[in-house]
Amino acid sequence: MLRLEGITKAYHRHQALRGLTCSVEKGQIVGLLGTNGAGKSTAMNIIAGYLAPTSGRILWDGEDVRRLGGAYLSEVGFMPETPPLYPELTVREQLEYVCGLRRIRRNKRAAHIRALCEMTDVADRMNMPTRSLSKGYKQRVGLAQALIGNPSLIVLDEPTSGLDPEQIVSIRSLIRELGRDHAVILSSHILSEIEDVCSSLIILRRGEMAACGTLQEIAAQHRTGEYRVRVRARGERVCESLAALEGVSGVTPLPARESGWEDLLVCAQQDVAGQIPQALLAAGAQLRMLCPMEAELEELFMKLMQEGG
Amino acid sequence: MLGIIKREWRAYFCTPVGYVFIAIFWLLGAAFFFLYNVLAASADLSALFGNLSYLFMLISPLLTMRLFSEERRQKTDLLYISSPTPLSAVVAGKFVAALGVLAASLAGTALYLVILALRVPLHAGAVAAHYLAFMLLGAATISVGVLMSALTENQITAAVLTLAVNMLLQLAEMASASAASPYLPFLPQLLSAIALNQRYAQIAGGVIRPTDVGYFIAFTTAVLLCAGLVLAQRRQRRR
Repeated sequence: MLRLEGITKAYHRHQALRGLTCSVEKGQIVGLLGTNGAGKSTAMNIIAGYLAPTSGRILWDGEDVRRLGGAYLSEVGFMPETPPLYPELTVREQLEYVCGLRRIRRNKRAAHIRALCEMTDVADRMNMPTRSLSKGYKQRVGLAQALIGNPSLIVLDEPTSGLDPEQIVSIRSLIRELGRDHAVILSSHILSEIEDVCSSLIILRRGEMAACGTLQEIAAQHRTGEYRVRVRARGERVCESLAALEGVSGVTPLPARESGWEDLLVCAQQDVAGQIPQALLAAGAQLRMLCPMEAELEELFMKLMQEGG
Repeated sequence: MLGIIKREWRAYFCTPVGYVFIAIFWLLGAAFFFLYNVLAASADLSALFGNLSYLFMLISPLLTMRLFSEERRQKTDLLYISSPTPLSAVVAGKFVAALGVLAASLAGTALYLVILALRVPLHAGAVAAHYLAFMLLGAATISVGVLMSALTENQITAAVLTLAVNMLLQLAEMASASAASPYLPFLPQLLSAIALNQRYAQIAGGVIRPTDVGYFIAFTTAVLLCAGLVLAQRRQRRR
């Protein structure tokens, strides 16, 4: 459906994107992750047609979007981090204006706007000027205007920012619903949100793609044999005896999850699961839990960011 | 395009800008009418419209300075840049909206003519020529403002640039006489060629030649096309 090929974007001397190549298919919800300045917003602006790439090309169903022009733009709905709203317009007028820009037939506009307002839960604010809306409502109007014209690809930059917990839940479920028959690209700083909503991930690091795929695929690519060990012991002997095992490259304390017990992260180049209980027994420690580290997005993300320096 | 015109009109009249513009135009227009027609007991409209044209040159940045600059600053330009609507339609919509405000302001001056017509007979053709000339000059002036607003993110810069260029275009004829230089022998002719006020005076005087009307239309179209190109180019360079 959408394919980015070697997209770069330079702002004067700053290289915001360096050869980004990825694909997004219908029915996929792709999470775009990265630290501030990693190039997420630039990538989203380029996909939405707001910015032109310095080099590279974007293909829509195999065709270069520069050739498709307006036909491509009508297939993309974009909600930037701060929704572009005219303060003097009411919600209805704002959406009517965007309907005009997106060439929705005049006789279909009222019904379309009503449906979108109900979907995004702003129907009760239709006649209010956008300047008097709360941040949460502004986000929802922004989402409604991104959905105008039922675009095939929806690009959402921090869609739940500023929403209350109840609204966050409803917007996430709306995104999941949209993901069934649309392609959705979603960026968020809330990793649990990405983990919860997205079917695959693109992780950007300083303008480059650090990882791409499902969480499991990325975890498999970057796993080195890590174990979470929950122990009760006194002194440094436990760490020393675990570190002395053959193949163990490091032992790091993790935040405790159970009172009275310590959690340790054992990193190894080989399978040491069988040797850990013996080492702990020899060190006089009590073992409560030993499990391979699950692919947790937060840890994976931190690891990928650290790998890049 | 209708949606763009409607939104621009809302922007003019939801803020004091539109009202201030119309109020200045009508009040000073009334003053000119009183001075040149009532006090002088004259039915000649040249002085009234001539002064209104200079007044419009001075206050036209009020109408145009925020057209694109404000959208850039507030990032609402994203709505039309990432939409299937061509940028030419956006430029045209904004231009027509500003021209509409000018037309509404100019319509108010009809009241002066009604007052005048009660005392002296007016020649319909002469009146129409004045309005046609004013609208053509207004369109050219507004197009310059549209271009300047597309060029910069700062409204004040856009206003100052608009004023400077419009002054040059209005005063070019006057400047051409004293611009003779052995190094730039073509300068007087060039200034004379681009001057708007000579052509304006011809049309307003009832001498409506296709070349003069065509010049205004071509000038306005060319400047608006430049504004469209500036917007398209900026997409490549935007931070």
